Amino acid sequence: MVSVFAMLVGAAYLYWEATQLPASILKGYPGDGFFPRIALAVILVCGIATLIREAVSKQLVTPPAPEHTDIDAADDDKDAPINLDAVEAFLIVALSLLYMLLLKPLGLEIATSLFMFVLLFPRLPMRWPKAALIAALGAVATTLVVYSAFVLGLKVALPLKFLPQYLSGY
Amino acid sequence: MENIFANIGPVLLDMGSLPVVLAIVAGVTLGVVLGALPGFGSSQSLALLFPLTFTMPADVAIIFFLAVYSAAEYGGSIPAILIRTPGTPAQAVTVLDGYAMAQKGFPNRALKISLISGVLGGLTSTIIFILVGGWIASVALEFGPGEMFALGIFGLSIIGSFFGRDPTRGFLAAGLGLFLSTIGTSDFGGMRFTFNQGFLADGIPLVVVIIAFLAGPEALRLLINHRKTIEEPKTVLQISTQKADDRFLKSDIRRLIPTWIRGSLIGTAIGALPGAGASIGSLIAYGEEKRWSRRSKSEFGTGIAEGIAAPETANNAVVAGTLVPSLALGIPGSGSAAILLSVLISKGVVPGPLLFEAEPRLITSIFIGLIFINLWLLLLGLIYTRGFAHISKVSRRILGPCVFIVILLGTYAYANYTAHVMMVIVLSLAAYWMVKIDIPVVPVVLAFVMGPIVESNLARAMTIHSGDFSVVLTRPITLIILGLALATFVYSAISSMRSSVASTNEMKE
Repeated sequence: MVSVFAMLVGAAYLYWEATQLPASILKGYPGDGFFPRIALAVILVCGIATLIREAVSKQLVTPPAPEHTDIDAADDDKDAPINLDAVEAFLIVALSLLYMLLLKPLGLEIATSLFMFVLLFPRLPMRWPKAALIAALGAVATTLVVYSAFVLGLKVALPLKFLPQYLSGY
Repeated sequence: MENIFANIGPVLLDMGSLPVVLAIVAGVTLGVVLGALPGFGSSQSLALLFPLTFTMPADVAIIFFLAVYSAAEYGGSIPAILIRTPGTPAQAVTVLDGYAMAQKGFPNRALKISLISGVLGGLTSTIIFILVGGWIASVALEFGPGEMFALGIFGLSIIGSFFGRDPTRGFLAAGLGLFLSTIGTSDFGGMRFTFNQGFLADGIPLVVVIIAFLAGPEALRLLINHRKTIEEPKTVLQISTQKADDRFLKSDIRRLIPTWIRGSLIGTAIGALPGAGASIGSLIAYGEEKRWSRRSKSEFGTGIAEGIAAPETANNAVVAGTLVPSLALGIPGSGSAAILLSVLISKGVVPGPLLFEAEPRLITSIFIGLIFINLWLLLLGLIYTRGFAHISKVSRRILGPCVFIVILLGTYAYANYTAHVMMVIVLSLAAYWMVKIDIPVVPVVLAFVMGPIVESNLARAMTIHSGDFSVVLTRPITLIILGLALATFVYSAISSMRSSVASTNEMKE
């Protein structure tokens, strides 16, 4: 409900922005803001309809409050105030943005190895020394695969620190 | 049409060239592998492999993608039959009889029925595609901007109506896709919603939207679900108490011919409808098979050949079926079709009625390519199938990070531009959130593809008629198509209201 409401506020602001776009000097052409206004009107109308439907269905049927016995069940409850999925999704997004920012200064080799290690390490279901070792090996292996596929195979100009851009034959 | 058949000779020679052979072999193998991964449907597989097409010429790229698409639709049936884990939602029905037959001690027979049915469905729908697609394109050549606008609205009405839990959510997602398509420079040179950010001047690339909305949510789900308990799939060996006659029998051919015909026709027709897809195709084919088959209804679900053949024929027939509106009208009917179209667009080929006239060789390549793809799929399946079932046992904990890095670097590979990757990251989060709150993401992609078609034809029609759109509405074809769009919307709204009233009553009780 909160997400749809936020979407509606954003759409309303953008609709106002669309009304500020200059009118066309070409005869007959409805202007650059015409089609975006239609799209945003669709979002506004359907968003409001979705909110009303949700509100009505919640009023008609009020389910009993869930009693969570474990963390996973609590996480699946969409009405819970803090959702662990949301926290983790934001962390992954922040980490990915950091990876893209560090790709150039650190180079593909170091940045990708670090990024993969951070993603793999907490996901391996074993004691930490073993998990760290496997995550490190996995991170280096993935970096090599990525390097072979994208740099050598697809000739993508990714920033490199010490691996060669091309492998020349003898 | 003559042009298309005149190119058969040269295209057959092209099929022997190394790039095409590699595209078919690699595409089919990768498609089967990705299709066998639970959660990875054909659209996710295509979105993930999109970067591989950047360096390919148009005909090789489209053949590669058709190979991935066809093979992914088949690949999902292997774990469905052997370990009761459907690779894609389309194989959920195959589990019923496929797994039951494997448990009875006939896993190879079940796999062969699935393979042969899929290949036959693919071949039949390919022939229907070339005949019907050419005819529809020739009719659509007469369409002006008003009719094309109406056709776009019809496509959007189907997409909004039938994706997601209810039409309001489907149209909300379609509206979002339409809006995203307007960001950047308009057809008439004006700048829209760039907020003084240079990287938005060219708009959001289609590749970014496809990767973010189709592959992004699945990648984030794989990364996030590591906290949750995932039921490990049963091993393949546990169910393989093979019997002596565990093979495809001659009597199967005679018995399954009507099933294959029904499945092919249903799959092609469902594929040609925007909004429907392989999941609906296989479900309807299974239901119709139950109705028309000589077998009693109670036998379905106990491991009979018809129960595997019907859904598997249909879900592979969907592939060529989906090409009919996509190539002939430029209207993608599913996420996978939108990706196929975007491959063509990225290579400078414009899908739509003119494509059959302007690019007959490409159409012939698709036609012949699909035949070769299905034959290679048959060969690969006959030689080696059971090993692919082990793919579905790859740990999600390892798969998530690997898929995510491919998404990030694959997007970067498109134009070596960091801003595109940033867009994918942010839009993937938005898409993941949309999935969580029950708003479908596929309409976003489809509306994003159709937005420019609808907008440019609307602008053209209004410019021609000096801003008076009512003139366009006097044309009979436009009126009929817009009437169909309205009828679709009204029908979906009524059926959604009925189902929500029924579910509320159920909950009250």
